[in-house]
Amino acid sequence: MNPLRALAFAPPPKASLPRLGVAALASGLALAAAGLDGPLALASALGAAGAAFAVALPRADAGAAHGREARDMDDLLIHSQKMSVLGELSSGIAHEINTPLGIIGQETELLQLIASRSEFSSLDSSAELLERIDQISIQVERCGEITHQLLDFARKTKAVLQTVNLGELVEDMTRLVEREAGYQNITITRRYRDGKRTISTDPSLLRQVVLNLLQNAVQAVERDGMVTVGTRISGQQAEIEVTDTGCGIQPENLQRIFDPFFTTKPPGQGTGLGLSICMKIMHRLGGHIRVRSSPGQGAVFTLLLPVAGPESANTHDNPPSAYQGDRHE
Amino acid sequence: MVDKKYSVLRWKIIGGTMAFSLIPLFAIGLFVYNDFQTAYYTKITKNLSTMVGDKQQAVDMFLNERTAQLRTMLYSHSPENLADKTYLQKLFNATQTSAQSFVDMGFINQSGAHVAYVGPFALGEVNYKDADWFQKTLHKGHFISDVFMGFRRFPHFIIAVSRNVNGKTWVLRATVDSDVFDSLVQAVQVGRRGDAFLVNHNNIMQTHSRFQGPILEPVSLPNHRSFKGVRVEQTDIAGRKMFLGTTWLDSLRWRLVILEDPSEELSALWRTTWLLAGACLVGILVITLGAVVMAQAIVRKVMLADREKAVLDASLMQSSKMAALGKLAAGVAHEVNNPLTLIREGAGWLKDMLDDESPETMKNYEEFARSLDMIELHVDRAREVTHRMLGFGRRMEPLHENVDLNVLAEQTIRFLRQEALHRNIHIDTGLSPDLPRVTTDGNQLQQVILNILDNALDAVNQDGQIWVSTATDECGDVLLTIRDDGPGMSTETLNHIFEPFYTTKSVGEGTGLGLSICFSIIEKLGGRIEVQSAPGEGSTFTIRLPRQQA
Amino acid sequence: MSEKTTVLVVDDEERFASNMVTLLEGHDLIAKAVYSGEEALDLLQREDFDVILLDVKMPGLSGIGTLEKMNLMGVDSKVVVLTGHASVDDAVTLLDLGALDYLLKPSKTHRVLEMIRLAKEARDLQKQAGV
Repeated sequence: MNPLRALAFAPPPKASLPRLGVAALASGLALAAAGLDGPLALASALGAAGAAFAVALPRADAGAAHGREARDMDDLLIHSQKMSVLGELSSGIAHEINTPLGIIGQETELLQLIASRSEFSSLDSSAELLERIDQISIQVERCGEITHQLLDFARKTKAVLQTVNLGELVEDMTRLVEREAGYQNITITRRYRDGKRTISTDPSLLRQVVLNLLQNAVQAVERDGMVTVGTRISGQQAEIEVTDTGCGIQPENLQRIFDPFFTTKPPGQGTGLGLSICMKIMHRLGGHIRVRSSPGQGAVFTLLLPVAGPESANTHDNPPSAYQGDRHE
Repeated sequence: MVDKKYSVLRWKIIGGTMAFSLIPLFAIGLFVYNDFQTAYYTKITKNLSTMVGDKQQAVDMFLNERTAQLRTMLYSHSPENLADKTYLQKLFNATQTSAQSFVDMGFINQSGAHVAYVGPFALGEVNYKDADWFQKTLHKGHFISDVFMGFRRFPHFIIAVSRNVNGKTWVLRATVDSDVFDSLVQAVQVGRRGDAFLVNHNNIMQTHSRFQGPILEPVSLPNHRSFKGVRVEQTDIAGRKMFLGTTWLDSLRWRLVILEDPSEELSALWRTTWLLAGACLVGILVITLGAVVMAQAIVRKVMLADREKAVLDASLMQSSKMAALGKLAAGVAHEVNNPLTLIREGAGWLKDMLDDESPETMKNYEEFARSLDMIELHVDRAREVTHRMLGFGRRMEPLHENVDLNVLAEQTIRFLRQEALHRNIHIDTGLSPDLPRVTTDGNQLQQVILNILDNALDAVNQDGQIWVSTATDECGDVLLTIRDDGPGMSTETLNHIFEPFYTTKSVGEGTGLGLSICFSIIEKLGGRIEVQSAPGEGSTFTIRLPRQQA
Repeated sequence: MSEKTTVLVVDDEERFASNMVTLLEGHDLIAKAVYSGEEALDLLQREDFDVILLDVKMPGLSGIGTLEKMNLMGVDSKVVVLTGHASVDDAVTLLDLGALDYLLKPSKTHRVLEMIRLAKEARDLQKQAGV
């Protein structure tokens, strides 16, 4: 029997352990066959055996490690995608309710107008009438508030403080981005100092910010460059620094990058909400975002966080939504 | 990007397999080649060494025999007899009958004068008193000379033995034609380039050689000091690698040299080498082919697994999305319902009040009443939305409930009515009035209907018609048919529409997962989705459900 | 700014549009209502408005489509988007297309008026600069 044929008989196994077993079996068969044919066959048999193991081994140990990590990553991804889907769907729901509410609001105002001009024979004064109409107006506004809140429902979750390993959290996000970055030939360099230390913060909110900054950095580099991720804890302050080798930010834009709707991307590619939401989240976490950049030199975004976590007052405070119409108020 | 990922994986597998296969293959090939070479060299060396040893013994034996013969002659006959020429002639003739090795023979007295001589030459008067060989013979008792030309004008050598009788020393000398050696030695001249010869300690040729020069000429050979046994080595002779086997004779200071051309001897090795190289080449080809095929197969498996995973993820996403949406919708609906109720009450109160007024006395009575009507109308409209949301978000876990497919269809159509209106698409319903209830999961079913309806709207795009109908068939299965007058689908598309990731929409508009999820949901509910379509004739999707869920 | 501000309300919800006209007229503005993007474009060829209140989700030409066509026609009215449909992407698209701002229904009339005032100011400034 030809040793290579022996290998060919090895079916592609599914699990890692059987895979190794079959590789061994195939190798064994190949070697046994070689014994009959002399040294030449031995050579090809060893080759075949090597091949069998070469195929089996990397997948075998990749399988175990990959499974666990992939699941974590997928959970995170599903979570973030779920959130974005919620945003889309909730805007649809909001529309359905807001349209009739808009009309009700108008009618109420019309009623107010009429009531203020008319005289009512059955009423002692129009005060009660006006109060009733006001009440309707208040309820309409209440509905409006609810539906408006709906729009950033996904982002309105309260900060839940946990003890978080700083380096681990950042590394999780880095790995998430790294796969994509690899395809664009962007290397991600890690400079974790004090990465083993823990801070008190809301991991899911902080993850969102870190992920956002990393994605921005990768997008800024576009191709063939480097993104550096660093962590550091000095005193009571934790820092996460994301540096890219992209084209940098124009000085006049530097003032505005945290404004809602400010984006330099073409329509449809970015909402311009990312950084404004990041900033709001950081505020909620009792921290801040610092940015340094000069055109052509890339940009450095630094997240500054209190190691002990934000004061409780900040934690439960829902700052006003970043992107509703009431921007002039 | 995705393709690149798989192509990287493919090359990794190919590279890994080739590396792990070819390196051992080459290693073994090299090892085998080396082993073969060593074995062949050893074999050749051994053969050569045996041959040299045998020949050396033959030559030595020949010389010893001759010496012994002479000695026997000298000792068994008295000097007086030997001095007699006829007696000596008789003896000479007797030796020649067994082997014609001697050319002539002479009996010499102490002072070097020939006492008797037999042979073809006239050497009777020659005195050997000063000859080196004579002195050595007297001194050592016997002597064998190197080959020389001497008086006789042909290559020969001398064997001489001496005997002391009553204080007088006698010497018996015989001449041997060196041709004897030629026949002895040349028998082992092997192949086209093999050679065998004898040289003395000064590297002067003692026999005829094939290639190394004539007799009595110096030979360019590595000069060996005397040693015991046989030596085999490789040496460069006239620019040619040769095997050289050599040994010193026991009887005199001559060397036997046998030369062999390895290129002739090793031709078997070359053949093996070529065979090995050929086998390696075939091995490389087979391994390369195997690696490519294997990589292809593995990558395909991985791709399939990834796809399966993506489908799983997508359906996971879908269900978790629906659950989250349900929760959200229910929450919002509750929150909005309270103020809506208050608005409704307020409007009711105002209406009651208005009843007490007369249209004649009150200014703007009409407007006031109309506004109140409008408020009530739109509160109802908003309420309908919240009720729908509540219904939608109520339960996400799979259920076995009694579902009225007609109601479900109507509810679902209401979701999309607005959208359809915007696009000027008519949705007609033909719902069977006596449709039996179906035991199934209403929410999941609604999701499917919604999805198919949504697809139908997308297919029609603008200004068209969608028909939704329900019916029962002869087996008691319940059918829901959604037909559109859109552009329809080609057979090619039809074959793929339930596959995950298949989409005809442009990138970013559809994941291509909708119908595959629909398919799996309906399958889980024990039903089937059928589709009929042809280009230009619209499409018909039929959901077929058993009355009792499997 | 002695002359009155002219406003065009574009909304497929007819009652909403006509109510808005009534309310705006009550606040001393000149307002007109049309019920689709096509009608709006048709009217804009003949008449000039300072401010346009534009709905996003409409049958036929959507708010985005209408704004795109208006840009092509060279309409220099200030556009304020007023809608119940609040998808972030739509908002960004509209702002990129030159809409001044974005209001969500239900919105109090005084807020709409404030927005119209700002829009009118912006337009006047632009006109002065242009002249």
